[in-house]
Amino acid sequence: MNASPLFELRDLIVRYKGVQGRVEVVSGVSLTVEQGTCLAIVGESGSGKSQSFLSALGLTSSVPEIHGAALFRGHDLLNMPKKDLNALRGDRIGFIFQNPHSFLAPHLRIESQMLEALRGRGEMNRSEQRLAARAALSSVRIEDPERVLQSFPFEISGGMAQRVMIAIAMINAPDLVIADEPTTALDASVRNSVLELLREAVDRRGAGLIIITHDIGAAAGLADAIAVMYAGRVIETGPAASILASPAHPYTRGLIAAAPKLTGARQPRLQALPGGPPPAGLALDGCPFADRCPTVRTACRTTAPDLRPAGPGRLSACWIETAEIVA
Amino acid sequence: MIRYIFGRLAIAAPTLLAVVTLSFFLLRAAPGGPFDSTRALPPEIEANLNALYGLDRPLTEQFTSYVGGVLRGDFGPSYRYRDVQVSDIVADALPVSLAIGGLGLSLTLILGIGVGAASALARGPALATALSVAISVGIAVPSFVSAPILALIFGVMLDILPVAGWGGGRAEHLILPMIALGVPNAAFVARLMRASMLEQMTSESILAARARGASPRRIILRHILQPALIPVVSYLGPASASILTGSVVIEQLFALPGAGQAFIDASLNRDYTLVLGLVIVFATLVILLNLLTDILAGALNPRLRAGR
Repeated sequence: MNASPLFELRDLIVRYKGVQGRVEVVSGVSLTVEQGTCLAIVGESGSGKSQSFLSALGLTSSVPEIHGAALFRGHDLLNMPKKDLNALRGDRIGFIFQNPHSFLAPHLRIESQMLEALRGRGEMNRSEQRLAARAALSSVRIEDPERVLQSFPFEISGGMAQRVMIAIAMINAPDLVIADEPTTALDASVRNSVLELLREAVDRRGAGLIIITHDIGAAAGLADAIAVMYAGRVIETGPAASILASPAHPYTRGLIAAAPKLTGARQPRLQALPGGPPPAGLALDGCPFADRCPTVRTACRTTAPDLRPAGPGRLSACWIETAEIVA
Repeated sequence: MIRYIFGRLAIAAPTLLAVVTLSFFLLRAAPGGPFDSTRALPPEIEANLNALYGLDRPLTEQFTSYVGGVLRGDFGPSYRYRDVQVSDIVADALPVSLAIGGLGLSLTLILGIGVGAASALARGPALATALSVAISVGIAVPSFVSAPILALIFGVMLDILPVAGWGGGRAEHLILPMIALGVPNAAFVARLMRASMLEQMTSESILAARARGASPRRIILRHILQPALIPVVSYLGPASASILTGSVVIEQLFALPGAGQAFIDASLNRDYTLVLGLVIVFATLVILLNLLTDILAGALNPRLRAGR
C-alpha cells in the first residue's frame, strides 16, 4: 500500500439529475496528490473544481451520480461504507471552505463546533479536548483563544473565522487538507496570512494540500503542482513553476494574463478572457474552449483533444503544440 | 436576559390596561344590560338594581372604580349570578380550560414537531407524500368540523369515549377535546417545522459539520433540529392565542364547564364584570405565553440574545 499516492482521482465523472435530464459537471478528471505537496486546482467558477473533490467525499447537499474512483491511500472513497468515510473526514482529511461565516453554524459557539472534530478521539476527556481546541486556535495565531472559543461566529471577523476553520481542519493533524477557495471571501491583507498558514501545514506536518482557487496568484505562491480545469475537465497539469513560466494551453495563458502581478514597475495591461465557459450539461463535439480560444483551428470544432505530454511532467489538452505557439 | 424579562413585564402592564379599557367601553356600547330578560322588570326594581351595582353612576366613574377594584384584587360580583364573585367563577372554570388548553398545546408541539421533522427526514417519497397530505388535511379541517366527527366516531359508533362533558376531569373526557383542539395547530406547526428543517438541511454549515466528522446524530440534533426550531418557537405565542380562542369553540362543542364557556354565557348575559374578569385572565395568559416564547427563542438563537 505504500506505493499508492496520498490521494488520487481516477476518471471521475459527476452528474446531477436536473429538470432537463442529467447534467454532467465533472467529465473524467484524473489527478494525483503526493504527501507533503500542494496541488492547486485552478479555473473559473463552474469549471467543476469544487465538485470534483466535494462530491468524491460525499460533501454535497444533493447526492449526484458518480463514476470512477477517488482513492485515499489506495482506498476507494466512493465504495466505502458511509461510516468509514465519516470517520476519515475531519480526522485524516481536513476541509476549509470558502465563506467561513456561512460554513460555521450561526447558533453554536466556536468551541462546540471545534469539539465536533474531536469526537472520534475517545482517549481524550472533555478538558483535554478543550485544551486541544485552544492549542489549535493558538497554532493559527489567534491571540485570545479563550474568548474566541466562547464566541458565536457572528461575533468574530471574517479573517478570524477563516483561521477558526483552518484550526478545525488541522486539529487532528490530517494527512490531506482540501481548501476550497479559502481566501476568496477575505481581505487582501488577511489572504496572505491564510495562505501562509496553509503552506505551513504542508511543510511542517508533511500533509498533502489541495487548494481549489480561481486566484492563480494564490496558486503561484503555494503550489508545487497545478491542474487547470475547464468545463468539468482537466485541460493542463504539471509542476507549478513550469506552468506559470510557460503555459501550454491557451486557456492557462488567458488566466495568467488576466491576473495582476505585484512585481515589476510597469505591468502590461490585464487581459480579460472574452466570453464565459459553456453551460454545464451542454453536449460538445469539439474542444470546450474553442469558442473563446484566440488560436482556434478547424480540428478544435470537431474533436475534443485529450491530455497529451507537453514537456517534463506536463500534460495539456490542446491540438496545437506549444512549440507552434511560442514560435 | 433578566433585564430583558423585566422590560417585557413592564410593557405587559400598559398592554393589559389597554385591553381592559377597550373591553370595558366596547361592552357598554353593546345594547342591553345585565338585568334585561324576556319579562320586563318594573322600572323601580331595575333602578334599585342599577343603584345597588353602581350602574347609575357616570361611565367614567364606574370605570375608575372597576380598575381600582381590580388593582386590589377585587374583580367584583357577577351581575347575573346572585351572591357569586367573579373570582369564584374564574376559579371554577379556569382549571378546566387550562387542562384542555395545556393538553392541546402539548399535542400541538409534540405532534407538530414530530410529524414535521419526520416528513423532512423521510427517505421514501411515499412516506413524505403521505405525511404532507396529512399535514394539509390537518390544516384544512377546522376543529368545529373535526370535533363532531370525532364525537360521532369514538363516542357513538365505537362507543369507547364519552361524547361530551367534563366528568370531573377524568382522562377519557379530555382525549377528544385535546385532539380537536391540538390537531389543526399541530398541522400548522408541522408545516412550519418541515419547511424550516428543509432549509437547514441544505445550509452550507451542514456540509462543514459533515466535513469535520460530526456524527450524523449530532448533525440532526444540533445542526438541523435546533436551528429549525427557532421559527417554530416564535410561532408558539400566536399558537397559544389560537389555542385559547379555539378552546372557546371546543368547550361549547364538548359541553365543558371551562372559561371559554363561561365567557360566551357572560357575554350573552351582559355580565359585565364576569366578561372583563375573563378578558383579564385570557390577556394575562397570552402575554405570559408570548414572554415565554421570547425567552425560549432567545435561548435557541444567540443573535436574538445579543440584540442583533
